Amino acid sequence: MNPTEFKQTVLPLKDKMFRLALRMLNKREEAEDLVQEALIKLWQQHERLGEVQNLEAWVIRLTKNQCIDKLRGTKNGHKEWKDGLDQADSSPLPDAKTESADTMHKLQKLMERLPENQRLVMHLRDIEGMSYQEVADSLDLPLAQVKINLFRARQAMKNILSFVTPQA
Amino acid sequence: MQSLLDKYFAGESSLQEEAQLKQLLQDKQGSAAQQQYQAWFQFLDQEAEIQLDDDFDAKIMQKIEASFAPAPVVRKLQTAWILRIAAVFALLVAGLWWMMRSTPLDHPLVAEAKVIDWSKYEPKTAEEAYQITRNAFRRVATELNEGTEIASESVGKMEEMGRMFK
Repeated sequence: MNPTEFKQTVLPLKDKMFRLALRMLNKREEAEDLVQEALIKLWQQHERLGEVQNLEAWVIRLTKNQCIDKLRGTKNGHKEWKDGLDQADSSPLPDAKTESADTMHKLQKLMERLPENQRLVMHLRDIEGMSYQEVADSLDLPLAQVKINLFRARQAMKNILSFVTPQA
Repeated sequence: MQSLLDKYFAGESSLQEEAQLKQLLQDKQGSAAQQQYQAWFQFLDQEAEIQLDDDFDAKIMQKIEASFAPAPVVRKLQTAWILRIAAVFALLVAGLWWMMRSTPLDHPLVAEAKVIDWSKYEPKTAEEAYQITRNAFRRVATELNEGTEIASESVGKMEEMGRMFK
């Protein structure tokens, strides 16, 4: 694969990579740096890229793994990652009922509090619009596990939604 | 709409049904609960629009292109020129060989050249030799003068052409 082909096939996935990195790292600068590193890493393997069956899933998986490595590399990140693996905290946010708070910001914070696997499944399905199979391929998870994670994530959101959205 | 919402939160809806649900929530002003869901889908749309800065592509492609070593074009060109010159040389050799071959030694012109008696062109006296040499020098001098005129005419034409192409 030459630079032109790379630009046409891999580079259009950059925003998906960025949104996923942002979802995992929660910092725009860090997410941008990570996407750059991931793209350079992908380019270093440009001779093999043409052989990849599902390029999008492969790129998303690589981004996720890079994020995990980054989070594990930092003390706070490691804690964040471990916390993410724990059960979701379904209690409302401290300021959830404050009417002045921005609803979108609250929803974002709410999503951040989901366990990592649920958060990622929900992100790829509800934000990136991927099919269950594509989500499974991207996260290297069984299809059934994807459906369970999505069910749990949506139920958690449903239970908390009334606390964070403005009442009519 | 409620059945679509139930399917969505049960994690059983298809992508088409989710798109339909989003559309219905946008179009209708429903109950308070539905407005909460409307906010949720707005949030998802907003998150899907997050993008990298416009100059990101240029930055990354600059790095990628810098690391990409293209094929040595100059070397290829040199090889091509050497091959061309070799081909022209080979054609010349082949042409000469063919000409030599098509003019055999027993050709009438070759045979005639062999029998020329050069002794009849030799001057017999010193006076005759002097006259021949003098005539030869005179002829060379005349032709040299003509040559100078032709050369100056050619230079004039070239200068004129040079002015035209400027």
